[in-house]
Amino acid sequence: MIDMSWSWGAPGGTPTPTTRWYAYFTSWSALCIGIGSSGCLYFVPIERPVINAPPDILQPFELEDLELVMVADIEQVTVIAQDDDGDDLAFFWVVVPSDVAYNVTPATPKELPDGTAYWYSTLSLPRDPRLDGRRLQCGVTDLQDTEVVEWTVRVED
Amino acid sequence: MRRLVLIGLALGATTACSSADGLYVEDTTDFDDGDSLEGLSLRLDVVPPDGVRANADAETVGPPGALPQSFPFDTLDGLTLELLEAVTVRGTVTGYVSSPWSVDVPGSTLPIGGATVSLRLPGTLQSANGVTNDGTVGAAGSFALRVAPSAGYALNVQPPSPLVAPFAATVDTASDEPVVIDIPLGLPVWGRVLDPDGAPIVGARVFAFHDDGIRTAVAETDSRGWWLIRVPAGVWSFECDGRDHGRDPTIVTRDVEVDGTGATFDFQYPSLRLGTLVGRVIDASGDGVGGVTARLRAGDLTGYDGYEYSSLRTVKTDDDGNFTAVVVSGEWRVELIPPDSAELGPLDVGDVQISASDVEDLADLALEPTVTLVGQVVDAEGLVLPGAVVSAREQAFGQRGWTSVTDATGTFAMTVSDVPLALEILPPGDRGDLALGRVEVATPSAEVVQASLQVGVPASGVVQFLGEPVPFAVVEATDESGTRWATGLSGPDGTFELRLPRP
Repeated sequence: MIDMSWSWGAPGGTPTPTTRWYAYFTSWSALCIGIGSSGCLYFVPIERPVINAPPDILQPFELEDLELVMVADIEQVTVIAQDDDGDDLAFFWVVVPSDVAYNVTPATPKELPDGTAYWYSTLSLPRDPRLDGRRLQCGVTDLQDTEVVEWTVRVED
Repeated sequence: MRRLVLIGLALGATTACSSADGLYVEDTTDFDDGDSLEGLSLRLDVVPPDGVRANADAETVGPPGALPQSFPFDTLDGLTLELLEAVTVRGTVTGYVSSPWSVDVPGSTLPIGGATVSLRLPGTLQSANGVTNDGTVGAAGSFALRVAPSAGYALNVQPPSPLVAPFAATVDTASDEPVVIDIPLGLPVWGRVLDPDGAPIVGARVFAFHDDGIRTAVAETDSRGWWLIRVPAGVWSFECDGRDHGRDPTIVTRDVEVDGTGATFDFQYPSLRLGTLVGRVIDASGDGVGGVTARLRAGDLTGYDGYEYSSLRTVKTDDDGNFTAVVVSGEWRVELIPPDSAELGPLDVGDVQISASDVEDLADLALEPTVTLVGQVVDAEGLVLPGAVVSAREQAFGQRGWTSVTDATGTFAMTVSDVPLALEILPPGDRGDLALGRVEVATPSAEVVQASLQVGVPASGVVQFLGEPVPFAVVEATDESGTRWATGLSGPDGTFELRLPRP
C-alpha cells in the first residue's frame, strides 16, 4: 500500500508521512572463493545497496537564490518534477505566516502519450506585505528522498 | 459507527459557445448526453513556465517574455492560447498638495512619490502593483508596471498621504504614450473621533473606501481628535479603528455623499467597557497545549447598538495552554485553532458573554485528536483508481489542508481534523479521461468516502508564445469566484487537455 498523507498547511512543520511499505532488497549474493590449495569454499555475503532515484525537479530550473517578487495581486509558482523510479510524488508547501490565504494545487500527475510521467503542484499566493523577506518552501518527496525548492519573497510596498 | 457516503462526484461542468462581456462566457451548451450547462461561466488562466516568465518581469535586453494571462473559454477544442509579450505601462503621478488647515496658503503641484499604483484587468488574473519613485533613483513620481497587453485595465493610484486624493482611470496598453496623472485637489472630508464624553481620541486611524475598491491612505487623528481626508466627489465610506489601534471595534460610516465643499462628520465611540476572557486549552490527556490561537469574533457588543462595527481579536495560548483576552464587553464567538503541527482538531467554543469589569473563565477546553478519514476512489465503471490525489481542507477554522494518494486498491487514509472538510479529488495521471471531483465530508470520523470520478467533458488546445508551442504552462479553468474546475499542464508540443466535470 502506498499511502502518503501530508499537511500542506503546516508552516515550519516537517511533513509526517503515514505508513508506507516498500520492498527492501537486502540481497545476499554468493561468492565462492578458493583459498590457496586448501580448496576451502565459503560464502561471503555481499549487501547490495538500495538506490532510490530522488525526485528530479524540472522547474524551477535553478534551485538556489530564487526570489518570488510579488507584483500581481496573486502570484502562482509551479514546481514540476519527475521520478525515474516511477514513484508517486508528494509536494508540501511551507508558507509563513500561516494565515495568508494561499491556495495549493496538490501533487497532480500528468502522463504523456509516450508514457512519460511527471508531477506538478502550484501555489497561489496573495500579495501580502507581511510576506516580504519571508521564505517560501516546496518539498518534493517520493517518501525516500526529498528535494526542496526555496524562494525569498519580495513585496514592494 | 461510520456512515458510508456514496458520492458521484460532479461539479457541474461547462463549455462555452457564445461571447459575452469580459472573459466569462455564459453557457447554454448541451453535451451529447443532454446535460444542460446553462448559466455557468468559466475562463482559462495560463501561467507560463519560468523560462518564458523570467524575461517578462522586467524590461531587459534579451528574449521576450510573457506574464500570466486569462483567456475566454469559448470553445471546447482547438483552443489556441497565444500568450502576448509583456508590455510596460509607465507614467508619472503628480498632485496638488495644499495646507490641510488654511485655504489662504496656496499649495503647489508636486510629484507624488511613494504612491501605490495598481493595474487590474477585471475578471482575469492579470494585475500588477508598484510604487511611484520617491526621487532617490529616477524621476520622482514615476512608475513602470509590466503587464500582459490589453485594453480595459483599471488603474488605481493611492497616494501615501490622505491629503492627496486617490485616483482611478482606465488604461489601454496599446498606447505607447506615458500615463500622465495629475491628481486634482479633491474634496475634503473631515471630522473628529470622540469618546462618549466628547473628549478627543488621539491617534485613531481613519480611511475612506469606495465601492469600486479604491481607498485612501490612513489619516491619524491629531491631539484634538481631528482627521482630514481628501477624496474625489462621489459616495464614499469611512472606517475608523478607535482607541489603541483596534481595542475598539472598527466602525464604518457608509454612503457619505461628498460634493461641493466636501463633507464632515464625527465618529463617536461609546464608553470603553472591557471584560476579560480566560481559559486553558488542553489535549485529551489533560495537558496544556501551547501555541493555540483563540480567535474571538465580535457579536452583539455592549453600547454598539446602531453602529456598523466589526472586531476580530486573536490571542495565543502560552506553554501551559492558558490564554487571556481583554476585549470590549458583550457577546463574542470563540474558536480555538491548534498550531498546524499539532495532531489536534480545532474547537468551536460558541458564543460567550463577556461582562464589563468581569472575568469570564472558560476553564479547561479540550481539543479532540485528529482522526483518520478513509475512502475509496473508483471510476464510473466501478474500477478502482490507484494514484488519485485526494486533498482535504477544513471548511472553517484554520483551513488546514492534507493530501493523500490512493493505493493499488483505490483507497486512501489521511489524518484530518474531525470537522467539516472539503475534498478535491484529482484523477491519476494515466486517466486523462476523468474530471476532478469535489465532495464535502461533515464528520470525518463517522464517514467512509466512496467517490466515483466521472468521465469529463474534454477541452483541448495549445499554448503558444510568438507562434511557438510553450511546454509546461499551467492551464486552469476557473469560474468567477476563483474556483478551479480543471487543471492541466501543456506538454512538450504545447498541447494541453482539460476534463471538465459534468453537472
